Amino acid sequence: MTSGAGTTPAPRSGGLHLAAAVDARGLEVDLAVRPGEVVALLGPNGAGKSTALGLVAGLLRPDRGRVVLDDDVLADAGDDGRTRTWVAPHRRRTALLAQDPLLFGHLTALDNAAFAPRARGAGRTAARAGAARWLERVGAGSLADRRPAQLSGGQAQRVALARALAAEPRLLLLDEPLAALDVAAAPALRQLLREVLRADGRSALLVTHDPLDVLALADRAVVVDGGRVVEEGPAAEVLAAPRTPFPARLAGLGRLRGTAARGGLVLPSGRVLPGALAPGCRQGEPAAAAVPPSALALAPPGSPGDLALDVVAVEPRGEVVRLRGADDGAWPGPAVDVPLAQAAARGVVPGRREAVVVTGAAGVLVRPAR
Amino acid sequence: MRAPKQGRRTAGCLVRPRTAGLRAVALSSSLLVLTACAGAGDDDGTGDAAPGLPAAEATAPGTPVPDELSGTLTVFAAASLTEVVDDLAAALEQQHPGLTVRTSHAGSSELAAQVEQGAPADVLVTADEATMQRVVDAGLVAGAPEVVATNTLTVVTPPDDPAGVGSFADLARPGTDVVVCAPQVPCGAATEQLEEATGVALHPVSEEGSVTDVLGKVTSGQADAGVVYATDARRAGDAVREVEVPEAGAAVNAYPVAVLADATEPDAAAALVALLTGAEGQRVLADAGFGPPGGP
Amino acid sequence: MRGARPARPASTGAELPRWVLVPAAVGALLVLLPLVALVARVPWAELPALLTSESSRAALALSLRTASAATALCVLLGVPMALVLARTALPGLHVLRSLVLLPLVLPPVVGGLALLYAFGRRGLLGGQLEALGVSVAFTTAAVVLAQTFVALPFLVVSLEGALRTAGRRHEEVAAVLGAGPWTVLRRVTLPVVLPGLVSGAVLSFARALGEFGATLTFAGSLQGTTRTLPLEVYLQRETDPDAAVALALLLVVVAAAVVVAVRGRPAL
Repeated sequence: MTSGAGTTPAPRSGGLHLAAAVDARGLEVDLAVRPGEVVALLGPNGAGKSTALGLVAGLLRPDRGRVVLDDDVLADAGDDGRTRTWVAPHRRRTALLAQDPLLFGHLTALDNAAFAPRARGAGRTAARAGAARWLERVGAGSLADRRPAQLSGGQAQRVALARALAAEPRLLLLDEPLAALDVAAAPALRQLLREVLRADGRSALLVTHDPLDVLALADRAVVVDGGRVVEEGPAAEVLAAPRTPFPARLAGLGRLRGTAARGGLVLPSGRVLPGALAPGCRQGEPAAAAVPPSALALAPPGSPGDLALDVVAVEPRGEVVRLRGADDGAWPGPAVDVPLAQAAARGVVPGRREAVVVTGAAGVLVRPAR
Repeated sequence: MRAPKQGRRTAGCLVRPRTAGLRAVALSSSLLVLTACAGAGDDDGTGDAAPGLPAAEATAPGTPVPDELSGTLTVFAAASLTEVVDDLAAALEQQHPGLTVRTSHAGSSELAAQVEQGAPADVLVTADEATMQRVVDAGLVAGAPEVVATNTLTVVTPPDDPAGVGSFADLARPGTDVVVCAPQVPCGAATEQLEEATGVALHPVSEEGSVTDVLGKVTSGQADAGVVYATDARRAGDAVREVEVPEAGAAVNAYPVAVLADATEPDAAAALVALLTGAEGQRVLADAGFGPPGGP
Repeated sequence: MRGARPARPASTGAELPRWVLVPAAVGALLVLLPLVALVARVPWAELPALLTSESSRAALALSLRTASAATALCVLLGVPMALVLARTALPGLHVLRSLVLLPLVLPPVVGGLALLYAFGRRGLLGGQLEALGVSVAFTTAAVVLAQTFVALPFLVVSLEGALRTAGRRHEEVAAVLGAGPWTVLRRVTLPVVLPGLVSGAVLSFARALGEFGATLTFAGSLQGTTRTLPLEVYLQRETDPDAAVALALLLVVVAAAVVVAVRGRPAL
């Protein structure tokens, strides 16, 4: 991430290349979406994720930098902020699916889906025929005649997806598309998105806060924090072995510190957390690893355990209660899941120090830590 | 045109009299006013407001009234008489400190309707005889009504006279925007009489509901000419140019006054009627543009 | 806003102090009593004759014609105004907004005077218009102008509120889907704010229909040309009170219909 927005990267063939800055939002990002690739854009609220989508959609003008899609320059503000190229949103051939379906309330589901072809000049009949196919594709064929007010949240989002797909976008912009759906509707739509994205080899930029979305839908993940790209990599890798605090928090991983050793991470207690050393991580030097709660358990009463956990939060989660340790700077602290009965018997409360044992994590990645 | 000017100036230097009493002071005891005006004029340069005022006016005595009057006298008077009646009422109050005069002004037919419905009034002055006759026919008048003034129609144009109006007949020329009262209201009915008398058929661009609206169209320059009462033309002063209408006598509006049968203050009522018909009343009416009771 | 709102429970926790009912009732009486008095005064037997007299029909026809024309003008001019006010960030826009809304609170006669000094024969533009052979004085066009002047703010306020409430997100989605600015306006923005536009237009129509002061001051009063219903009422008031009451009733009925039509709409 050394190339700032100012240095225009050489355009690669196809896909999206966004290297631009919006000063008012403190955003200066450089990211790419290759043809056929789904990239998850992760980051805390206010990190600039939606701003980045706005830059691509054409709802925002960059102060510096460029937006290139399939070798077409959509926006070029150069390094001096003087706009050299500006393609209006309606000429960009992208499509936006947001958390709110934002269907047009005065049109039927069919006419909503036919909106983009009609806007591009298709005849009513042809546009509707195409729209009907897309509604079928998203499993909303029977809803064609309904008005948005007559649709459930999940149904409305399916229609919104059909509407976006009917635009035949070169790039699909997904802004937390499942966040507003209830737990019953979200999995089905996630599955639908997965089919649509994977089967058709679509390019998409996906903003989400759900690790399940990242794993199910995305090929790569890009983490934005404070307006800058701080981490990127294969989606599964970023979630499993994050370099930065945000994806760790997203994946529910807690940070444990120790010393790098051949077999993994040596905890202060001497216990070794099995794992591999990341490149550049030398044995004997301070190191850390992000571990899932499933790798830890409460030590039996009276046992000192492998590490001490200062409980700051107690969160009921179905059959277990998750005890959270204190944050380590920006990083989330380790957490341990305790079966309900055990938690009730021991009386877990915030503020108490619990002894925790390592129960055999499936190989963590040990990274250097200062 | 002298008296209204004087009236306005007087009003200006007195910072607009708020009560009829103050206005009466201005008219019937103008010496007092002269003093007041001169005093104010020292500061604001309006001290020259008074010279138009003849000494005779300043000292003109009111019509002699035999006895000291008291109580509350209620006068219903047509709206066009508002200033005249208020001034005279105040003068009467000055002469009789124990007397309070209340005046109510509205359209003649409205006043008549109120009297018919039993409104407590001592004196009624209407702007036409037909309305007064209605009240007489209802048996609500004591004695016979007496005409105190007449009003005739006149033609007014904006001061620069854009359409070159020199006579009533000129109003019928194509392209001359003439505004008149609607035939439904008395001044409109009078205008129709005048049209008949002159043989000139007008094609007005607007028929207003009241004569003040006609005047407004002329003073603002919207209309080339308007047909209004002489009293309205007088009140408008320099804001309009008046065109003599020799045939004006064809449509004379008489203003009858009557003491009402149910008057609670018949003596005071009689005193007011006497004041109206007397020398001072007639002078004040003439200053306001009214004609003598016998017509022009 | 989706679906029917659930009925409010009859009793809520916090109750009003009882004495509030007294001034509330007085206020309601103050509004209703004059209307009741007017209706009580209606000469029902002669009503058909009064309403179908030549002058009444001329006034009604003229009022409907001019108020419709004024409403059309309000829509034609007010929609772009509301769009500019709600969707652009030009400097000084908030000042412009306040000024545009001024006729709402201006006494009608003052509006008439202002129109007179702008479009009258001796007005700011009157001279130039006269030179072009256009004279609005004492024409039906003057009535429409006066009505538009007083009614336009109603449409602008109503529509600007609707535009702000609707937000821009639907428009953004439409643009990204490939709709150009004109298509967005026609197929998304206007349909979305249609209820606000309709209620604004209805209010404008009602205001135009009731316009009196500015018309009287500016346009004049001639049967069939400039004498609208309110002017006819004003004229008949003294000479034929029954006719005036009959026409007043007609205006009250129209006003009531407008209130019913607009009530419950979110805009304004």
